[in-house]
Order: sequence, then structure tokens, then C-alpha cells
Amino acid sequence: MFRDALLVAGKDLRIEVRSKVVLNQIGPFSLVVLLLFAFALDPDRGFLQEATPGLFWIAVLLSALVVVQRSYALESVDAGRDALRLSGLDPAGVFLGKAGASFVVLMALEVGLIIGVRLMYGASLRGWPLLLVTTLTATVGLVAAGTIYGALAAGLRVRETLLPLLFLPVVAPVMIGGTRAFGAALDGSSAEGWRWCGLLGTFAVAYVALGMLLFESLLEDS
Amino acid sequence: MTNAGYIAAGYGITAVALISYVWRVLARGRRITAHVPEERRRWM
Amino acid sequence: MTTTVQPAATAPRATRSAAPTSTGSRFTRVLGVVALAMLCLQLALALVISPPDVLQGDAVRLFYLHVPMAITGGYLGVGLLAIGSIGYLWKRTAFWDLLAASAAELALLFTGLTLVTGSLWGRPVWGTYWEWDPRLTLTAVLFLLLIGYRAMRSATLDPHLRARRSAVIGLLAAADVPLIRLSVDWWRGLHQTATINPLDTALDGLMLFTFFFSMVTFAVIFVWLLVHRFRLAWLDEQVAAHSLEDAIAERRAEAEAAGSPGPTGSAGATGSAGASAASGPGSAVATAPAAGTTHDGGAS
Repeated sequence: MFRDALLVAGKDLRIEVRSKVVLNQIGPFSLVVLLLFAFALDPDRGFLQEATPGLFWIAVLLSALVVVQRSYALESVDAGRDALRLSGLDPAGVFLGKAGASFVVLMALEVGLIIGVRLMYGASLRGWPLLLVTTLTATVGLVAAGTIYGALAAGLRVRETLLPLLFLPVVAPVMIGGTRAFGAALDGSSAEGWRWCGLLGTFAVAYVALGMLLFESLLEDS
Repeated sequence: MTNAGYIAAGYGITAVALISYVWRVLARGRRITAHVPEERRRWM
Repeated sequence: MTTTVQPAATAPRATRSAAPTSTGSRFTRVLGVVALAMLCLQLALALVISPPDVLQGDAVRLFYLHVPMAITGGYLGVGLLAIGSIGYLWKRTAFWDLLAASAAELALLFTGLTLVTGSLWGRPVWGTYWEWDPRLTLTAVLFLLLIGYRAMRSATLDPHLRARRSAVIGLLAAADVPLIRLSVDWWRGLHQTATINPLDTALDGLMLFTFFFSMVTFAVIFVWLLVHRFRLAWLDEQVAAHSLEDAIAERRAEAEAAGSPGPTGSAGATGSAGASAASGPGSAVATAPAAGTTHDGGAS
């Protein structure tokens, strides 16, 4: 299973490295989102610093959506889905592989976003261990849920419009948990934040487990 | 009765929504039953 | 060719119960009458007989509508959605898929009405139509999840693909509810404002009875509607699955009839020509409703 996962993740990441879609399109997109927030909220009055945790996670959520769409767009050409199905790889392994590749990509984007909010919003990055753990657990949850919903929407004529509707309400706990934990870390009240990390961890474990269980039924259809 | 308007609106909207939904389900059920052969009109 | 009911075939059918002409049955008619009677009593209790609340005044009367809707839609509806989804993934039969679909549609209706009545209740009691109350927030997210489920179901026509994907969505949505519940509880718990919470209100005597009676009433209405909705979904499935098959049979029969003189003339003999014509296009092989069919009235 883990060998299959590495195989699939390696394939996705190799395509990413060669096509540079993440570098040339998705990364700049997440920076555009950060700029838009500055336009929407007056940057002079400290709104941006106050709202940094929420704005950061909205930017992450939108980026995750694009990353998931990209991850399945890779399979839609040259009948990649059929190839995956016929490859005989363990479905749980395929799930872990696709989620793993998305995890690497999304983490890279989040590093960019953290640097972005540090420089552009003037957010101070106190309580970095909490920030790091929050980011890791929340990202695992996001890519696990995103990979399942991406597979659910894949192959449908309405996939581009259906995916956000399915995916975004489901990750409400990640949005709330991530924002609160970040808020706690930036305020220096980390005890509160670790509790939210627990919730994020629960979400991540639940969706990784569900994905490994259910991916088989999603791979078997065309 | 205080807040009569809110109460009337709440019950009214609920009644309209439920009745129209029930009506739609029953009418459609009646209509579509005619299109299903008798031996397939078993629900289990 | 208009297929006729052969005299030999009608004899055994007459002994069997008549085929239904709607989604109603004896069971649903009894349940429907019970639900209607309970609803009348519930309205009398909630609107007239029970006293106004000390804190909320008459606004408490909306609460007899709002909370039962929330609980039947949220718990019963989503619970059945989860059971149907798991059942489908396990057994892979249409029954479970259609159970989940019917429960989800009713849950969507009930949570939608929960949001409307909640806003109308919140306006006089809280002073705003919307308060970021944990339960209200959970209901709003649940409403969106159910809209997503519905959107998935209408996104494809292939029944197997639809059943499989929507079962996964139903299961994931149900699994997400406890997590959302926990997160919104903590989220609002951090800066709790002094609001009157529906379930914190002390109820006594007649008000408590009205509350529980309303709960049972809406549960009965939910079950009654669920049976009808499930049967409708079942019939839809039958039409979708067999319309092609029937159309082929019809064409084939036409070709045969053109080749040799068909038995069309015998239609009048059995006296069911008019009835079989009424069974509509695409179902020429459909047998006409049996003569003994009961034409039930309004209380289906």
C-alpha cells in the first residue's frame, strides 16, 4: 500500500515539477488573494493584523481547492483515471498517494502564504511550534477531504462547480480550528490553541481513514 | 398575543412549504404510477 | 400494438391485492390520518392552549415548531441518510440508495424550515434574525451539506454511479456533523454572549407536554412523508430503468404486428381498451390497472 502511495505521489509530483503549474499559476494565485484582502480591508487601521489568522486560512482553503482541481485535472487527460483503475494499485494506496502529493504542494503554498502575511500584513509569528503543528494537521485534513471530494466530482460534466459546493462546507471545522489556533498562537495564549489542534488532528485522522476505506468505491466507476 | 406577526409568518411559511411539498410528492406519485407496469409497483 | 389483458391472466390477479394507483397504501393512509389528527392537536396546543413563556412571551410558540423541525430533520433525517449510505456501500441495492436519497431530501426541507423559523424566533427574542449560535450555525452548515448531496444526485443520470458517489457523500456529511458540532460549540463558547438558548429555557407542565407532543407529531409527519417519498423514488427508478426496455419491446411488437395480423382487435373483448390506453406512452406492455382497484380519496 505505501509503495503504491509513493508511486502515485511520485508521479503527480514529477508532473508538477515538469509542468510548473503550481509555481507559475497556483502560487501567484494565492498571493493575489492576499492582495485582495488588503484592498478589501483598510491596511492602515490594523484590520489586517487582527484578521490575519482568518485571512490566511481563507487563502489556504481557496488554494487547496485549486490544488485538488489540479490534482484531478492531471488524471482527466489521456484517460488517467482508467489507467489508475486498471493499474492494480491498492485503492487506499492511490488515495494516500494523491493526498500525499497534494500535501506537499499545499504545504509549499502555505510556506509562501506565511511569508506573505509576515511581510505584507506585518503579522508577528510568535508561538511558532503551535503554528507549525496547526499547519501540518490542518493541511493533512484538507488534502484528505479534498482528495475524496475531488474523486467524487471527477468525471462529471459539472465538476468545476460541484467541487467547491461539496468541499468548502465540509472543511468548516478546519477553517474554524485553524483560525482559532492561529489566533491563539499570535496572541501567545497557546493552551487554547493546542485544544484546537486536537480537533484538527481528529478531523485529519477521520478523513484519512474514511478516504482509505471509501476510495475503492470511487475508483471503480468511470 | 405578542409578536403575532413573527408567529404567523413562521407557521405560515412552514405550512405553505410542507403542504406544497406533500402535494408535489403525492401528485407526482399518482402520475408516475400510471407509467409503471402493475407487476413492478411493489416497493421492496 | 395495444397489449390486452388476457382473461386467463386476470383471474389470479383479482385474488391478489389490487395494484396501487398512487404511492399510498393502507399503512400510509392510517399513518396520514394519525399525523393529521396529531398536527391539529399540536397546533391547538402550541398556538392556543399553552401559556406564553415568562421570558420569551408568545415567541415561545415558534419554538414548538422550530425545535421539533431541527431535531427530526437533523437527527432523524441525517441519521437515516447515514444508515442508507452505509447500507448501500455494504449491500449495493437500490433500496438503501433510495432510502438515503429520500431521507436527505426531507432533511433538506426540514433544516431549511428550521433556519426560517429560527430566524423568525430569534428576531423577537434575540433582537436579530441571525445570531451565531452554535446550533443555528450547525444547522446552516448542515443545510449546505444537504444541498451538496442533492447537487451530486442531480449531476449524473447513471444510476449506479450516482448511487455510489452519493452514498460516499452522505456518509462523509454525516461523519462531519459531530466535528462541526464540536468546532462551533468551542468557537462560540470562547466568547459566549448572554442569549436565551432554546433548550436552556425552563419548561414546565403544559409547555413541556406541548414541546414533546410537537416533537412526536413532527416525527410522525416525517415518517409518513418518508414512506411516500421513498415509493416515489422507487417508481422513478422503475420508469428510468425500464423505459428503454419497454420501448424496445414496443417497437418489436409493432414490427411483428405489421408482419402478421396482430391481436389488436381482441382489445375490446376484454373491456380494458380504454384503461390500457390511459397507461400512457412508453409502456405499451403495461397491463391496465385491474378492475378492482380502489380509488382512494385524499387521505393517502
